[in-house]
Amino acid sequence: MKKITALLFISIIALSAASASAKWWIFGKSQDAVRVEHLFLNRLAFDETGTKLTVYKETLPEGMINIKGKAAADKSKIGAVQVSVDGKEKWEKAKLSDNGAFEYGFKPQTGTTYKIYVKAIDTTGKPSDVDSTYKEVTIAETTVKDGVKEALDSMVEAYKEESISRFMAFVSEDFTGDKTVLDRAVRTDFQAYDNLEFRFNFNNVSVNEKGMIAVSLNYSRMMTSISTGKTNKDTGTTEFVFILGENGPLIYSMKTPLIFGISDPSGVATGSTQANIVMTYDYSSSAKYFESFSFPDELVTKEPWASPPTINPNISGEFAIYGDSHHLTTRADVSYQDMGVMTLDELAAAPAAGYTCLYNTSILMAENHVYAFKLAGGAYGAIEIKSLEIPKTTLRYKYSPNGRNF
Amino acid sequence: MTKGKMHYARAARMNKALLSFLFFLTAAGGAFALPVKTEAAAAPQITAAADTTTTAIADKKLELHANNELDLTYNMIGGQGASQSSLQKGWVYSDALNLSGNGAFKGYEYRMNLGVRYTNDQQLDIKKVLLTNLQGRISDGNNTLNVGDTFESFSQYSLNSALKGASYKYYDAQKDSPELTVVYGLAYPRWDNFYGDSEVKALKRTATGARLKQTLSPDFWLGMSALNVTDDAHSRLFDTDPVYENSVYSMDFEFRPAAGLTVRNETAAGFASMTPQKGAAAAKADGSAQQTELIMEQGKNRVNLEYERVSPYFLTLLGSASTDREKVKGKWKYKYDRDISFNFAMLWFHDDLNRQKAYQSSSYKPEIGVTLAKLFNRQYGTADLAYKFDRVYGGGSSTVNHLINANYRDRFFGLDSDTNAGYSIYRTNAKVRDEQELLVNTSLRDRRTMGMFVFKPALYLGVWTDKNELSNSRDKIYEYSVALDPEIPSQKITSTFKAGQKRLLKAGADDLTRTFLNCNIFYKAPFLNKLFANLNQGVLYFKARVNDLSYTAASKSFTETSLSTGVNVEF
Repeated sequence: MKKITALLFISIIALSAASASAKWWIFGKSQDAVRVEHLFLNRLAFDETGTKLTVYKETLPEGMINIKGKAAADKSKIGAVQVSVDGKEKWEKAKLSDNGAFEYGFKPQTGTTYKIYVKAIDTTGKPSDVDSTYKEVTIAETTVKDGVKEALDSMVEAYKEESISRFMAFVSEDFTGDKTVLDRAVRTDFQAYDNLEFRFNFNNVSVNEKGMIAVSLNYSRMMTSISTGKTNKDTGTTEFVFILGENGPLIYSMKTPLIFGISDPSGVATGSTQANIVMTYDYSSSAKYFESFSFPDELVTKEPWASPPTINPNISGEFAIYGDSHHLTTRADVSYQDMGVMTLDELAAAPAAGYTCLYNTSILMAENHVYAFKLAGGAYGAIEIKSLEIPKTTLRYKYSPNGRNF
Repeated sequence: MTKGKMHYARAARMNKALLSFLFFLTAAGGAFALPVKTEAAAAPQITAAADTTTTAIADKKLELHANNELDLTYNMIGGQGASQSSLQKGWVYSDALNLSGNGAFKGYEYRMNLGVRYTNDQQLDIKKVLLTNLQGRISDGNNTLNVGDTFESFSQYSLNSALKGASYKYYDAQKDSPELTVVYGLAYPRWDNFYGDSEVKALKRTATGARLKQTLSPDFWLGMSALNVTDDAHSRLFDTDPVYENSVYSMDFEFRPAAGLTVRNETAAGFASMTPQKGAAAAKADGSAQQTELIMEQGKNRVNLEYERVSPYFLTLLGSASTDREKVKGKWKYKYDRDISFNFAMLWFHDDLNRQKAYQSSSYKPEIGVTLAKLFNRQYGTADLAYKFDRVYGGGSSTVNHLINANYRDRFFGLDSDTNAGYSIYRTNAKVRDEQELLVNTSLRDRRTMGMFVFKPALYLGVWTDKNELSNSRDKIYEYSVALDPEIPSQKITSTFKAGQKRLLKAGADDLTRTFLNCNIFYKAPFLNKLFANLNQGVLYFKARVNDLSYTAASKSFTETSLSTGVNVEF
């Protein structure tokens, strides 16, 4: 790994030293061309977004679109830079500095699509390649909130139809949890879950000048676990950050509890929503005496029982907690280990051995203890019992789909 | 001096040093300002001149906008397994009101935003009334003050979350001055975390930070951020909740040394102290993170190379990082010609960078894909083929997955078709997992105009099987659905109708059949414009939804039926 680091470091130094005159790696490119470089639309680099871009009026500083960039010519001087916002019909002059930096601003109208081209002309009248600067910018008629809602609804639809390409089209290349990791996690979700129903209400939507959108929402979710055949539901609060893309907002980061990619929370989520770090289960609401749980998410399999079972060998979740006595039991293919008094954060990895299956039996749990679980398929989980009251149990959890390291 | 005190003293010294450096950069910023030409050289093609960027902020009357979304739903839930439904029985209503205003006065532009939601749907919010947005912003073009909902994204590792607080920003675009941002606020996800009762109590997490960004040349900008996040130990929800004090110092830059080449880097140092529970001693968690990305783009090629290292104890409470990870990533997109493009990618990462875990776990994920347009000389025929490989190993465990996907889109007899086929093998050694998955689905879509009606019929068919070699069992899913989305454009009516069934045939467990019907009708009613003066847009809607889940065992079966109506108005 040190070699790779050294190689990358040397590459950066070499490229930095090469500066603007060294274009050795651009094969066959003409050196005397008039060109336009480093185009920005407000804070968005032209080449970091697709040819088409949807923006919302609320994301535009002072309601303006400012196009900035640099014009250059190796063997002559730049005389002017022009910008067309109507598909080359009409050209307007941009403000130009001595070193070729230019800027052009206009106030766009909602619901309008602007076909933007930028042209640099040197003092001999030679123009730059105009078509390569093309950017189609649509000013959405809807609000940012509607745009985010539409994106989330479309992602849920793609998730339901198990269309990975449609789903990933709503994920930014810069996704902080790594787009490849999310791709694999969502594919695993498709294999593990079905029948997703997802409703949400926004708690808060905030936008910054870079067009980034921070979203906090409450959700109510229902989905079927294919491994158990059970339909589970849960509710919670979570947070997303979106950035603007071709068809509207794209996911930039997600926090736990996750809505998508729940099969690999440690790989996909970069942060946690603090309002939902604990889960409280109230057994008093109906005639229920225990809840059974399945990792990786806090999907709860609710199983009302007419009378409290002494021992329940047929729970559908991986483990179950008896609300009236605080006993713990497990499924036949799951085993547990009491890690004693500690916090979940202190448990970096589940132990390799020392597990006991609680199928057909149970143990009495204790507050502030962490319980590690060895699950089927090489996965591991852990819960921390925050409080045991009758009829409430509060716990935290974590999960690793591949191996013992959390 | 105790370890904890030493840590705080060091953090304080670093804070001071960094702020001094930020101040120096701010002061020096003017030296890097770009000289702007007052007169550009004339060019014959110029048809008009526009220079709106230097226009002073003119007075503008307060412009108010309102948006209200009212929804009324009746949910019926039947069947023995009704407790599994995520809906709330009976009448459910919600109303979301947003008010926004903007204007300009004496050279200052101002903007405000207020949002309130009222609902009795306890599945979605335990509180009936929620303040969803509260924001005020004032700017003279160079100085901007924001109060209330504050979202200043400093950088990935430092600050990347919304706050409830205030921010101040200074940036003089004409002088290309340094951009200074100062922020203070609480990382509450909801406004009622401030004033609500125990049901919405959250840990009080206060953030204070500053960022300075300077464009040193058109090809190079440099940013520096400092952020301190402190949890209030008295606001713990439980005595066993951990609380943190976390400072992150970050430097990021983007450099374009040559056309088509971009170098990006962020390097951060994090200093944290974590108190695991009430009365416990604080533990240190200091670490660093750095990410470097090279983007090379020329003609038919786009290459991304990325290296990231986040140390095991690097903590960022309001940024984004996967801790204890060293990652190398490469991507190459090659467009052979207008119709053929290739995509090669490789991702490798591992954890346990300080060898403190039980073992080191490594992941290796290469992939290759090709897109073929105008396949078989068909104008709309496009195929995507991809092979992805996953390997996770360490601690005696080895998982090897092969994922093969094919997608073909074309138009036959005027119908758009989209067909996906996927075959995957999932294997984990020592007989932990051995499964084969097959997924095939296809959809046909059309658009027909019949008089004043436009129909968009669609048919979807899908099958999925998963064979578990260890248990010698096979699960299957069959799905079929039809859609007919009629529109009457002249009457401003759009709608969606979709009905279908999905059957899960589960080996050794109950089978599940889900039957669903969704109907949504939207009407941009002209009479709303007569009812409400200054109405910008008004939409009436009606929605009906049936979701029936039938298990082999009737005790788990249930049916959800929802009827909704509502109106969205925008002034």
